[in-house]
This record gives sequence, structure tokens and C-alpha cells, in this order.
Amino acid sequence: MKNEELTRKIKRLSNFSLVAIIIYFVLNILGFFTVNKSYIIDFDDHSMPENIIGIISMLTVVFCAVAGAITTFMMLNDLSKKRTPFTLRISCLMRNLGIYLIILDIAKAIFVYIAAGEVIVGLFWFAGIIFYAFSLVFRYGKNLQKESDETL
Amino acid sequence: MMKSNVETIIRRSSLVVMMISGIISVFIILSVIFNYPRDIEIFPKVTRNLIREEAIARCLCAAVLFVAAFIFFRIFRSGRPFTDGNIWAVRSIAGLFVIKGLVPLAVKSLYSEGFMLGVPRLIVAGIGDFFIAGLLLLFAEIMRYGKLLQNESDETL
Repeated sequence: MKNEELTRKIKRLSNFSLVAIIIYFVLNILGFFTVNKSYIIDFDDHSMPENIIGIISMLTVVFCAVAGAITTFMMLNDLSKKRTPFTLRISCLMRNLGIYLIILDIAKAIFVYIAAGEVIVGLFWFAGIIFYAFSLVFRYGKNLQKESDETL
Repeated sequence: MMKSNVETIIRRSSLVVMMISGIISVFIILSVIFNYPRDIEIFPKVTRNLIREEAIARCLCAAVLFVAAFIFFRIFRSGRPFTDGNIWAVRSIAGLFVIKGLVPLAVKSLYSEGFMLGVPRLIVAGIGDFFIAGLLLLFAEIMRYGKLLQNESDETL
């Protein structure tokens, strides 16, 4: 059956991606040790509100990065175990991942602005929008899967 | 939610994403066209490899965004995300990410006298890009599965 073959292939690829994301996450954590000094807040150079906003944005970045990594891990884990990739849970996880990426980029931009006085906007926010759009595609796939199951 | 409602939301969100990706890709291309000749003149010779690397990476990034805009345009037009064209477009984005991961290495090899190739360097060069490429290939397979379901649904109706 072509359907089953594809499902097996998806599961294999998900397992591979799961291992890859763990390695990637560990490498990123190691990367923290080589952080550029110009992006570290010197509390004496800034006013109290700036320091508070800086700390909040930094904590938000850390939270979103960890939450994003956990969400990706859970999503890939589900993809490698579930019968079909089109489920409501995977669609919701993908939507959450998109939201985390958007918040992460905004918080990162605020933090860099306070720490270094530069306005740097990455493309994470855009990746977040794409993930959000894909979550809708997965919801559409979920409906197709339901139809297929009911037909059988 | 009803299937037709989801289709409408998909169409709308695809239109938004298509416009954003198109605009960003144009901005990136314009920034390369205007900045590259100036940067090459202003900055010292030592940093030229970095500038070239950056310019190529930006062009590839614009290409990725352009293909993404194309995918979302197709989804917006047909309301169907699971088509052969979209599957191949996602695969081509994965290919572009692999190239983007290899670019720093290729540029360094071209413009430096020393030996720059080697497995460890290759792995470090663009590990993030390779990871994204792997994820995109996974998405392409999921879309293939979606296409099968779509065909089943069409045949049933």
C-alpha cells in the first residue's frame, strides 16, 4: 500500500529529525559560551526601566527558545509515533511553535536594541508566520484524514 | 471546523504570507544590489570574502523566499495545499538550504590558498541549514501523504 509506505517513510524521517534536533539544541547551548560581549547588558550604563525591559526581554527569549525546542521535540515525537501526521495535536503544536518564534524575534530585537543600541530584526518572525500557515494546512489535512477514515 | 471554512482561512493566510515573502525577497535583492559594490570598495581586502559570502547567502535567502511566495500563491489560487507542484517547490527550498549551508565553505575554498575542505569543517559550516533542509524534506513527504488523502477525497466525492 502506497499510503502505508509513505507513513513509514514519514516516521523514519521524523525519528531522524528528532535525533538531529537534540544534537542541534546541544550545539546551540554550547554556542552560548562564545557569546559576543557587545550584546551583554552593562547595568551601570542604562536606566532602571531599560534594565528591567532588558531582563524581561532576555527571559522571554530564553523561555521562547526552550519552549520552541520542547514543542518541536514533541511535534517530531508525535509524527514518528502517530498513525497519521494530520492530527489536531500536531496542528496545535505547530501553531504554538509559530507563535513562540514570532515572540522570540520581537524580544530578541528589543534586547539587542537595549544592549547594543542596534536595530536587528531577524527572519524568525517570518518563519513563525510560515509555521502558523502550515498549522492551518495540517488542520485541512486532518479533515481529509477524517473523510478517508470514514470512507473506509 | 468545516472543510470549506478551513479552505477560506488557508487562502487568506496564504495571501498574507505570499505578500510578505515577496516583499522581503525584493528588499533583500535590492539591499544586495545597492550594498555589495559599495561594501567591496569601502571595506579592506581581508573582509571581502565575508562580504561575498554574505551577498551569496542573501541571494539564496531571497530565492527561498521567492519560492515560498510561489507556493503560497498556488495555495491561494487553488485553495489546495497538497499538489505535486507544491511538493516539488518545498523540495527545491530544501535544496537551496543545502546550498546555503555549503556556501561559506565554497567561498572560502575559492578565495583562499589554504586547504579548506574536510568533513568536520563541512559539518560545522551550515549545520542549521542542513537541519532545516531535513525538516523541509519531512514536510514534503507529509505533503505527499496529504496529496494521497486529497485524491481519495476527490474520488469519493
